[in-house]
Amino acid sequence: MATTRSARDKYLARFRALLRFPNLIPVAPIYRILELNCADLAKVIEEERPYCAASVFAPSEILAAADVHYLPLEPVLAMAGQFGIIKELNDVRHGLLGFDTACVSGRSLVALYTREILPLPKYLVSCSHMCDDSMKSFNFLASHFGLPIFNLDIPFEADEVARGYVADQLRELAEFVCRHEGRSFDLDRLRRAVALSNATNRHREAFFELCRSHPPVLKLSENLSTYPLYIKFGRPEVEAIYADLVAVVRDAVAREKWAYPGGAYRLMWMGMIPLVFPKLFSFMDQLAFSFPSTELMVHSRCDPIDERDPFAGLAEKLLRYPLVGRSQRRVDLATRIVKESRLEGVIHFNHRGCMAFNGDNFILREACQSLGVPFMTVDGDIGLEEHCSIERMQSDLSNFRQVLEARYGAR
Amino acid sequence: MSRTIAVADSLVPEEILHAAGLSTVRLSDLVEPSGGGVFFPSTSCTYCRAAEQLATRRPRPFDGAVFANGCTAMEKLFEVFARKSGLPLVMLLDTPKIGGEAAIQFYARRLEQFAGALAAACGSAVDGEALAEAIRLNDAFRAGLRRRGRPRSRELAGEALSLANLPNRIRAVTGAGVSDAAGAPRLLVAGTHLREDLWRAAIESEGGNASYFLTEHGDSYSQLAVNHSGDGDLFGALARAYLSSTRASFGRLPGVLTDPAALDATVREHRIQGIVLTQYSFCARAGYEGAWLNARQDVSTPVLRLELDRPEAIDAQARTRIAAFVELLRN
Repeated sequence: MATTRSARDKYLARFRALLRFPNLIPVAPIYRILELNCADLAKVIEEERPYCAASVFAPSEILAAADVHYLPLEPVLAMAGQFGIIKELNDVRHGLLGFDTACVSGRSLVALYTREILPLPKYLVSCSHMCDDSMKSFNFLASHFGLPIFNLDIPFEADEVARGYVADQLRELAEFVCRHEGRSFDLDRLRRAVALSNATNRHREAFFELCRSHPPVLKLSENLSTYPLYIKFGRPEVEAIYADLVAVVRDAVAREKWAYPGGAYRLMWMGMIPLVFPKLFSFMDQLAFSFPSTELMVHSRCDPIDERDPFAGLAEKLLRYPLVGRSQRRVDLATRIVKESRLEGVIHFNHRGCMAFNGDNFILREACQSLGVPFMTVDGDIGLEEHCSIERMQSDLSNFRQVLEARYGAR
Repeated sequence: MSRTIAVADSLVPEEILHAAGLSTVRLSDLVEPSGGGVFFPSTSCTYCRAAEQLATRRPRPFDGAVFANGCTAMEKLFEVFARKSGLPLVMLLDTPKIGGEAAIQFYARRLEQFAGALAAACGSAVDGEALAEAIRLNDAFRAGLRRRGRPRSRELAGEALSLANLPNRIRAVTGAGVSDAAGAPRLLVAGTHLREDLWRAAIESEGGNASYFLTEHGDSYSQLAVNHSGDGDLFGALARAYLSSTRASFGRLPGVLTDPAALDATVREHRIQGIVLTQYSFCARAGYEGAWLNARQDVSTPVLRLELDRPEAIDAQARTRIAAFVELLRN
């Protein structure tokens, strides 16, 4: 038990250390979202508060409406990657899973619990978005520890049949959550959470508009770090943080405080983001690569959710994520962002073992070729250096810089 | 001559294709170990990397392909075929990833839509009478395989199945069954997209009996029974049978390996002494099923896990491990 306590405290300390991550400090709202996540984690670790472990695709509006204390595990892991804990979670080769040719995210997620870094949740909410690893790893935890789990199944095609199927599941999810929280479901609270989610989305749109209409005001690592912000929609703190983020960026634009005074190439990052390698981002800063858009930041853009019929509205949102379903959705998203943001190149990150992203690589390459935009694939891993080569990634990026320089001139 | 459709996933009911006047083969029976890797990076599902070559290879023994979204990799393989094969018919059946009544109802609606889309693509409607007949004949064929303990891949040897040849197939399958080698340990072979005939031969040559195939086309295929009288909701009956019977789908649905009672019953019923669990590299769905077996303390049946970096390549290393496992069981 002492070992477990110590491991948890160490994990929390490292999580808190993220708040001192030098690249994040200049952008106060991002700092605050990390504080929010850290506070949620601290309640679990220090106060042993019962909680729900949820997929990042679980509809946070429903969890917020039911006042659930929850941790979206994928972002928790993604940020854990920034201080190297992923390596620690995988230091016993193969570990309990007995195979290492799976996404490091799912393996680390399991290790968070089998190695007793996090206390067990009361229950789990899993989602078939966006890959097998996610659903399988959640169900492995449920089976291994005997935990209640709700599996949310989002169909491949978005049509009327699918909408009804998902909306019914969301109603069941609300009941499931309330049953485990010991309270009754309140539709008006869900409507308010959806209204907050819509307000947050409006701020996000304003943020994206500022990013695409002006030279970058955020450095690459700052901008990439905003991607965990899409979690926890439906909470007032998140809405406030986004409002502040827009204010900060708007102020920087007004003062023409550009992140790259000498100019930078305007690129889009597609696929997972290897936050575990900060030196890769410093390297791209040196190459004058700016990213007004990343796929993970913009994929959750959605039309306003119908507040009068929130289950149907949330079903529609889940069915329309561009990262799932037909590959054409990702092509359409990339095409739209490239055109809207006047981008000059696209980098696709192939995360080891990730068919959900990598399977579309050839389709996206062809789409970018037809747009006349240079496309580059970088092979790597989001968590473990032993699965990839930083030097090779840097070499690939340098080559891409040469392509951009030949096309657009030096910056 | 009817057109032949390659079926890529066990959740695609061949009955509907047969009722539309089409013949079916299993895509996994056609995949060769070498080649591929043009569209998918090297750190992707090794089965799909090999299967992708069938999209562009000429000639091909099929005129169309039907996929299901049993896993992310199959969704992406579908995209390769849809964009690169030039085949007139490439479809994906949207299947549920959970069980339960709502999922069955959803699946039934999808099957109905699938039949409609097939009719539009082929110009041959799926009528109730033909579908009822296809269900009856496929049930009879599977029952024959079940009785004789013959995996589908061994029985058909790559030949297409159709409404026209099913009666002959049903008669043929009443022939000699597969018998165990005396004294050899009885193994359950689990995996996805396996060629049961090749695995049976490999295991027998190493001194074991491949007594039960927990694979899409093996015993779990032959145990599927729609059992429908022909009246009422045929799509509903198909959906219910496929979702509740295809327990070895290794898809996102839970399988026999993660159901203690079902696994124990299978082991007891077939007097299984060891489990050979295969998984393709970068296949999360089979990997987690194996992990579950690893982590379970109460599974007394010994398990051998084999990771495959090429489909159907039962190489010397795999054979050595099988031989050692068989030896362990003998002792």
